[in-house]
Amino acid sequence: MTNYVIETKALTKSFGNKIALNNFELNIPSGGIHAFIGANGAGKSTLFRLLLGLESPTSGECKILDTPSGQLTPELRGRIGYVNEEHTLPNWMTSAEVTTMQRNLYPQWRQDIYESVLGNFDVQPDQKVSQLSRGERAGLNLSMALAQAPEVLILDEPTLGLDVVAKQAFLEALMYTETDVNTTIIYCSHQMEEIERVAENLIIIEDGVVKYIASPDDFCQRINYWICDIEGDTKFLTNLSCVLSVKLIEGQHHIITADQNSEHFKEYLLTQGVTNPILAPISLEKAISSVLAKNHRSPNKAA
Amino acid sequence: MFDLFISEFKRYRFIAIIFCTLQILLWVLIGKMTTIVEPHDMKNMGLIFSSCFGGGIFAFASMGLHRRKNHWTYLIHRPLASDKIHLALSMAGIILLFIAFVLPFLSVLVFLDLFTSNVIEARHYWYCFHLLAVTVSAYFIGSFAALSPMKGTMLSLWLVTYLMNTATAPLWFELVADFSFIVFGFYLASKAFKVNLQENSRNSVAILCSIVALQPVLLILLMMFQGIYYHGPVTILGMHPNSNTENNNYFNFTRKELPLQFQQLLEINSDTTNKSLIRQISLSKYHHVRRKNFRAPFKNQLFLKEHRRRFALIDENSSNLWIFSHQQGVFIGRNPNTDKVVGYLSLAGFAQQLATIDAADRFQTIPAIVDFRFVQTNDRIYTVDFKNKKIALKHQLPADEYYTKTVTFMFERAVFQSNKATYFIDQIDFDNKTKQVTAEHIIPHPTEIIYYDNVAITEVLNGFLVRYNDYHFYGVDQAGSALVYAKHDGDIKQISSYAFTENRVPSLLRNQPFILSPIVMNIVDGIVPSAIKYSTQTPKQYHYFWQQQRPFHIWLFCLLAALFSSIATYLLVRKMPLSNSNKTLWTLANLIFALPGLVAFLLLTNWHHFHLKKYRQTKRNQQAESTAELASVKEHANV
Repeated sequence: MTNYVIETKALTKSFGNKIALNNFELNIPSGGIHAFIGANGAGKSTLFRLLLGLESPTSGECKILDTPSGQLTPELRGRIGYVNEEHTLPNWMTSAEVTTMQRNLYPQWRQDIYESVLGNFDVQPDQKVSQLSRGERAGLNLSMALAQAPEVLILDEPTLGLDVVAKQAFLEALMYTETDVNTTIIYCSHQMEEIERVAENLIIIEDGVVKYIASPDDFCQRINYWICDIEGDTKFLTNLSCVLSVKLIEGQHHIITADQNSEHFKEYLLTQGVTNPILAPISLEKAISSVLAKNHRSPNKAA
Repeated sequence: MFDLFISEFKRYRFIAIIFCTLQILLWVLIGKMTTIVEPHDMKNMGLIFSSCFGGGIFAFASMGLHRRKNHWTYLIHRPLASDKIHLALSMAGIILLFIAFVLPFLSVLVFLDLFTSNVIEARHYWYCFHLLAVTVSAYFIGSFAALSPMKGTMLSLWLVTYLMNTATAPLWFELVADFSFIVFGFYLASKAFKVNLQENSRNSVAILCSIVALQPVLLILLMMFQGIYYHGPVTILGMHPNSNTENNNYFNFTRKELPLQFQQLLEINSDTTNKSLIRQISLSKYHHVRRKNFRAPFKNQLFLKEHRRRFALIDENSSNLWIFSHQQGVFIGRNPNTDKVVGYLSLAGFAQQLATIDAADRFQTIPAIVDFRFVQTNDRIYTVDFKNKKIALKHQLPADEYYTKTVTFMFERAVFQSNKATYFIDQIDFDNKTKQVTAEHIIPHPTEIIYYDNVAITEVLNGFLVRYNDYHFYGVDQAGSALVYAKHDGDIKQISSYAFTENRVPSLLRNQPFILSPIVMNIVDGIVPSAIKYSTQTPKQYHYFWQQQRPFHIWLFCLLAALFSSIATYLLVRKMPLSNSNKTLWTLANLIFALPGLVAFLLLTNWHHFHLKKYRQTKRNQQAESTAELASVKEHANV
């Protein structure tokens, strides 16, 4: 039987008439770095809040570390790390005071990890948190989150505001923690190069449901990128649900499809009078953005 | 937990210190203009208001900042139980509020105690504790309102008005009330401080406490609805009882000029004496016995709650202030200019040394100072002659009586009341003679009422006419009036009385406070006024519901209102996603809490759940349709 650190069953959360999560089904096994990807408002942060028991689901259930989220004990909370995109810290305290407070709370505190990550930032112990730049603040927060050596670490857009070197250091520390402490990391980010680099598993969320769960390579294989010449109308393509996008670039049509057998699709294109269909390689970023753009809200759709 | 406490304390410490410093400067300024320890309503209200609002505003500010989504996650998601987190924040809050609102005044008192000869005693320090209790209770109640998922709990802030009560009460009562509010407020706040702030409390005791917290304000709001369904419409129709002056009800009677009131009572019996009196009263002067009820101070009662005129005896020749020491049982004279103690005053007279005063000569109870010159206990009145250095017993009541009003001077008489009679004493005797005086007239009360709100007196040729009236003259909600004729020759007789049978508004409206909350607010009203307003006997209208005699239809309406509330709650609660125990609790509770309980249920319930079933079904249908549509397109696309 697989040991899941996160489980959700028919998880639904609505705010008034808006559904943030809709019958959300997800099982995340122990270990690895799992990247959550979705457009703004897809339900990622809501999911994290439900997992931490900060909100109640409208229906369904969610568990973390095999415990219903609403019943998390302080001991279990100590095994779950969470970093939000604002890097909320007490502004009125010095970095040394904040660190001491966190160190006293977490018995498995890893000073080596803390120092190795924080060493990339110019954070003085007597410096107040309010005086730190956004990047320094993020560095302090992330170094403390990693030093807690949690079993599950949820990072909600953690690298916003970090410079390239700091980001690099953080990602290395993240991977080190994942292997050394065996932490399951839930990583939510819009930075595709980061995801490409660290994620072992992609979880793409759209309109409150899990759209894809796959490794980056597997995911890329499910997305096909066609370049071809089409005379006349492309309506025969846009009606197909497997077609994510059709764009005319420099006289050629660029088609991206999902979950479609390439041989069958090529045949279909040829029967529709399409000439020179070529299957081109696709980057992870382009693949993901095509998937997300398919149902992304736009003024025309909203109307 | 200690780290969190320190963190929260550091967050606001500078603001607290600034508040503290500013207040100390303010007290120094006040000290330059007046005696700091002299009671004054403005001082008391200023301190209580600032503490109360300070505590409430601090609760809203601090909890409001904490409950922002990411900040709440940072605060609550740590290996520490939520009640410990709340305790850490509360402890920090208490210390900050102490620094901001209590420490300044406490520092001033300690300074006066150590470096001046002012009489500073336990009652002064207890006042500081009361201030702390007020600000901390307001903080907890504010926290409860700020953290609760339902905005209706904001109404519970009304509770803090109870803390602002300025009436004097025994120290034990003040302490019990203060501790009760702190414990009650802390409990409410701690139950509202939970990981999931959107979740309604399911704890039975917390639900009951929330209803109790809302009960007083909901009762008032429900009563205010009278304006919508009764006073408003009848005013628009021009039929409001206030405009009907013909109706012979108590309200119209008390609105009349005093001569017309006397005349109406005299006209009930048209004998020759009354006709003669009617002719006389049109030219007479009228006075009222003091309206404010008297009860002697309590030992160690909070000193700023004392009335300014009861603060000290004043020696007009030397301007020395003689302040009663609760600890020593004597007055201590102090020269405010030199800050020197000028002597001590006991029942035996003046003394230079405290040690020379025997225990038997000290006051056994705490006297009140009346008009800066009389000393009045529950059953004795003394006068002090500073010129001849003497204190004399002027009047003493029989063993089973106690004063209910202080002395008023009218028609060259000193007039005051006890629980049984109205006393008339010659003013010259009362003012000048040092020996004990006897009453010229002792007029027994016409009914069993102890505290009349309104007693008017006029002098006629052969004596005095004393008019008594009260809304509860003949019993609860049975207004009446009586006229007593006290002749100069000593003959006293009641010459007229009237029971008002007509009423300004219907009985159901008059009795609405009782009908709406016959149990809860009746018990609150039974406890609070009896403790803070009256000596030993409480007026009938404040008796507990099991002691009251009310018409049968009032009891019937009480029962109907309670049943309606309970049944309506049951019908509503059936469709809510609550546990069976919570459903039963709400249904049974509203048998006791009645209509305010029903409104509390509506305010404390998340109505989103009520529509949830229907909403979920609609969404499921929509989702099924969309999935079917998608499958059909996919099938078509998979060529």
